[in-house]
Amino acid sequence: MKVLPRISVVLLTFLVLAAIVVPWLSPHDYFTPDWNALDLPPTFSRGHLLGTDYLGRDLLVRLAWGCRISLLVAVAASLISLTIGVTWGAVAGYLGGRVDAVMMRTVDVLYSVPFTPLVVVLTVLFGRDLILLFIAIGAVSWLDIARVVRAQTQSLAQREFVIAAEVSGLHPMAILWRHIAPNLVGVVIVWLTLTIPTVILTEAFLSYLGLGAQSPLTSLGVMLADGAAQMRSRPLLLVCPAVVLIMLVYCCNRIGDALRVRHAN
Amino acid sequence: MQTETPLLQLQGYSLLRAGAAPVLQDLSFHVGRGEILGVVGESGSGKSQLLLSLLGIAMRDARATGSCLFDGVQLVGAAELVYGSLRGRRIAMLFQDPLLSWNPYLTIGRQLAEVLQVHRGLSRRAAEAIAAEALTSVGLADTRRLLHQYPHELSGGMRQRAMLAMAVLAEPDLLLADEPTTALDATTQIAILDLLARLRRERGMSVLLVTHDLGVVARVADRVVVMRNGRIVEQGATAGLLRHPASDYARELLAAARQIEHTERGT
Amino acid sequence: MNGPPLLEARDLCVRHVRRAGWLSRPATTEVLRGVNLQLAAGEKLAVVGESGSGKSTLVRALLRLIRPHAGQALIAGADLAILTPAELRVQRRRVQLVFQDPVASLNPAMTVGQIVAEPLRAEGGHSVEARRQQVLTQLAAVGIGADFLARRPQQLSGGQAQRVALARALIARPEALICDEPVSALDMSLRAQVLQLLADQCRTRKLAMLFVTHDLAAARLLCDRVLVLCRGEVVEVATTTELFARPRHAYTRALLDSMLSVDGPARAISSSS
Repeated sequence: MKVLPRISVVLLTFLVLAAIVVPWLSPHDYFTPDWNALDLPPTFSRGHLLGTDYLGRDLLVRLAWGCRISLLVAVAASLISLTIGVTWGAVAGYLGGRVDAVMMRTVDVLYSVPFTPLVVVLTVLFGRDLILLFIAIGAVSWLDIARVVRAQTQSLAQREFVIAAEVSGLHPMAILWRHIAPNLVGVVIVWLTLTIPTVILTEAFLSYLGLGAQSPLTSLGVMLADGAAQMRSRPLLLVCPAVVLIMLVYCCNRIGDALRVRHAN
Repeated sequence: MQTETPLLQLQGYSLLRAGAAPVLQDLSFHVGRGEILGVVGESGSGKSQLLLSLLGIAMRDARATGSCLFDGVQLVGAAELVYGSLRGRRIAMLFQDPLLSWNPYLTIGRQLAEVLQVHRGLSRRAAEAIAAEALTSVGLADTRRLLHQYPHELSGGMRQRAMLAMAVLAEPDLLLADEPTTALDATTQIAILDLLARLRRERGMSVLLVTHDLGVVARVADRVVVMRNGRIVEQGATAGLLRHPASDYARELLAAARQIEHTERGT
Repeated sequence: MNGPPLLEARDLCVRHVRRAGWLSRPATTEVLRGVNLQLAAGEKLAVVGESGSGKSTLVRALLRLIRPHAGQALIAGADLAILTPAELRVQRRRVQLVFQDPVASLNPAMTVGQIVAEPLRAEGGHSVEARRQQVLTQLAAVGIGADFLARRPQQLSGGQAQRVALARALIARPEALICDEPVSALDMSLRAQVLQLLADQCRTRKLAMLFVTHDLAAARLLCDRVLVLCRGEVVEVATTTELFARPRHAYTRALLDSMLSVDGPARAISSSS
């Protein structure tokens, strides 16, 4: 591996660990307003290392929580779409024919559904809920992996070892599970590492619009929205979540890219 | 002809890689003018690397040592500029897979004409006329139409013929052929081999023919070099070597080939 | 020989339909045009043809891995088209395949041991230990030692991989082997060995063999009868000796004339001045 991906792995591990550990170590929590400490600049004296926001909540702790929520949404939504997408694509690709046609036309139709208005409608109908966010993002991003996996499965199904398995009398589902699925792991991992940053950005975008995590719970997107409101008086409130977001997305992309190159060889 | 210096002369030629076994080790052989030299070896013998290193496009971390004289010019340690002036003009290359060596998005005519435009500075129109002639000379018919076709529209044998036409367009002195008939059908293989022999006869071109198939060598080569693990095991005139191989390895290869041929063809 | 042939094709036709563009009419190519073929138990039949002759398609159509457009493919008299998927799987197991590219025919995600055990798994009813014993026996029969069990296909040479593929075919206790260009991806010095191994195994196990090749010499080495396929049509069927002595079809003669031999006339030498 080259240097940049290595640094990315280290940095990403550090960010994830920090997001988990910081709220435990800090004396503050993310939701209790402290009326004696509104809008503090960074200070050591009361343990507000990055200062506080307009309700006196500790910025560092909120940043860690924002990171947790963003990552949680990203990983959960990616796993949802992974499960649906891989199953869908592999079955369509292996069975082929009419089944494949129906399944892939479904994907095409879903592709054309406008994503943002859909989420707006969903939030209006069901209220703002984190679970809804998982489902909304997961339901859309599986379409890509379904296509990738289908193409890969189709080419694997032509390979001689699959034909040999067919001739040896293995059941089609067993072939799918034992011979095709293990050879999909590479593409799927690459897709996963490249999708997680996309989902992080989508979540930030939705939260910025006020469709994501609900106060007092926070996410990087929510913090960006809050920070932007006080950009002139308290630039730190905007800069901190922005830097964390950029680092997360950059690291994931670098790692994904390195994996992709390695997989291609 | 025989009295002149050979066109290509290798002396103690090696291709070394840092921290790995040498790819080629201490090769000494020559290719005479108008001669077809067969280089025979199995996978891993370094025969393909030999061709690439002669063109100066060997593996990046590899370093050539020894001596390699092409028409009196030392190629070992030569500047990229020297190779550039030889590649495609005086030394041409013919690859194994005729489909992979064509650009799928350009017509045959465009690709042939490009060679002439680059190497001889001809106009597009003049270049296409010569290209059509070249295609005829390798036994292709209906060249007008062929010029406007794309590589995938041709059969494997036609593609390799057209490739050969492209390789000899610049009238090279030496043709490096890497398994030129391995991907082809038996009937096509014979035709291409005979075409190679004819081009050599008509143009006095030398050919370095790399192959794994002793039958191919028996058909067209004047002399043979047998390679294994980057070294030369044996070399000599084709008929003599095939009849009375001196090395165990050559004997083994011949025995294996004869075992499949089973009985001598009754002619 | 009594009873239906082990493997049979009756007027087998396969078409490939290709759509060049979404407006143009789909173009059909006839890959197989009414091929008839019979392989009796224990017989060795060569199918010889060049690229595009449809030999690989024939192999797949015989086992109904692709659906023929017309005609029938039968295993031991049973028409594969009317079998249920489960019955089809049972019939197919009587015929096993060995492919051209030995590395591509082994699953890169499995070990040699797992690959060879796979047909037993499909069969069911073998204990882990029984499977292991059988795998070792079959591997030994093709000259692969127990130390290869944990290796992966990428770690094998072409010759070793082809032996493993053969072991996988044999462990299913087939009645016939279909070998699709089994040695053309191998180095010359290995080809004779692998062909010999194929011949030996067929003899000791009394297997029938359908040997698909472009190489007439190899066909002569192994087979009793030869079927010459040209552009999807059978142009000649004859016993091996008959075919080599008196080829009837012009295409067969062209194939015979293009056989290269290490002892052949070295024309180039005589013509150089």
